[in-house]
Amino acid sequence: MTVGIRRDIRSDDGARDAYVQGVIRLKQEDTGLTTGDFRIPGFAGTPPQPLSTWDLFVLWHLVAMNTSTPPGADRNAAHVGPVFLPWHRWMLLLLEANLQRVLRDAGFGLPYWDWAADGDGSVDEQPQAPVWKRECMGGDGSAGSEPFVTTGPFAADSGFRVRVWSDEEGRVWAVDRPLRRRFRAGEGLGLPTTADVKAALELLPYDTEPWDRNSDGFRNRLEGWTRPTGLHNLVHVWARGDMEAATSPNDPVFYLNHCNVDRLWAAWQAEHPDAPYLPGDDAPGDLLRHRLSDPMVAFFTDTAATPADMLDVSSIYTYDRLTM
Amino acid sequence: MDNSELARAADPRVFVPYLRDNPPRLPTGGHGHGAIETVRTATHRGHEIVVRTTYEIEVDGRPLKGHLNVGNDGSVHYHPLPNYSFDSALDLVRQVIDSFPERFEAGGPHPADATDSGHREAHRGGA
Repeated sequence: MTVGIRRDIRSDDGARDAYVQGVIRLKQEDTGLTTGDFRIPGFAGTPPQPLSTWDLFVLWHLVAMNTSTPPGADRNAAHVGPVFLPWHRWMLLLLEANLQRVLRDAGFGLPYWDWAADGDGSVDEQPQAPVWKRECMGGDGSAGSEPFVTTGPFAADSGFRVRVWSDEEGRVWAVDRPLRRRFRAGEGLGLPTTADVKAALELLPYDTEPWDRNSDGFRNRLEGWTRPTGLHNLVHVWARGDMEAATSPNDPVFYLNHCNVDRLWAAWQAEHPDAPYLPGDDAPGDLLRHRLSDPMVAFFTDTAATPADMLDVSSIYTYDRLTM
Repeated sequence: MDNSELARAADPRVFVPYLRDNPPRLPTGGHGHGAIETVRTATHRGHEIVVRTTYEIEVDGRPLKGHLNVGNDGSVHYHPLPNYSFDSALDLVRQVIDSFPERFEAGGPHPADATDSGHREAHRGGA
């Protein structure tokens, strides 16, 4: 049995290069499906677009985000509630399995981006951090209303094309354009810091009533709803561009952010081994999709994992470092 | 869940036929009207409180119809910008304009330029 080791992309060139190569291969892996198969309209006359395996993960995220739990609620089947951490852990596991397949490396571990280490530096220097270098994710988008990424392996001239996009009213469209980023550093906004992370890791319980963005507890702090915007949410808001829409998994940085979020959950689990996942199975029905043994929103098959399935994944992967 | 289960789930020979036969339901339509109502409820000293808030947002005369919620602390969350929380609806709209500038430029592309059947359904209020 192979147990993958997930490493910091800031300092591990091997993990970085493998991830970049894997992303390119999944992005180029034509599934034979198109946006037309899913009745996704073309934006401004865009014809139906081919969907790669990478693009399907974008759609999975969109489907989960648009499944309100219960209907009409702020909470959805992947965010703004307890299932935020287990659902994304499952998403990362399936992406990692696909990366292992195209890389032909069963031991490949998805890298994480320890953004707090960069957040401890000056705001002005954060856009020059290793993760934004040409050999890693590439940098900021160009100035103007079309902030296309111009450097690195996913730049506009690389052939990396965004195929599905969620607009200002949340509607999904077929598009055919480069990746967008619009860093907030120029506005004085910095990434989360190690102090922010350490404060979150001390919090108990895992989650609590009302089980949404008004909850006290670890999940809500890590997701970033404790104002001002923090941790996970702040990384999306800082990078902007494609990272701030419901289709944010278009940007390969999405998975680096969420792998770090998952690492922080693993660190919290190690720090508080007796603290249970909440809510349990006896919670009210309006928490469907969030309770311990509820099926999470699936996409690739009709077999759904549960939050309980995600609590101990030590037979599948570990992190090289849980200390902050 | 183990590695072998994950490897099976990551096989395109498995998931592509499944998705072809079971296409997911995606949000291709807006809310179909300009008014957005949110409801907050609470109990205080045995009394049931219900606060309904209705928003009608326009930018340059055009309605903005994304899904909006108001939290118990009065902050506003707008689903198309899923990682933000705003002090007010005005702050929300400012951010929407900043985040989607090309959508508010005069002469910029508009969804009405779309041509396929999915879009026409969306404008009839589908999805």
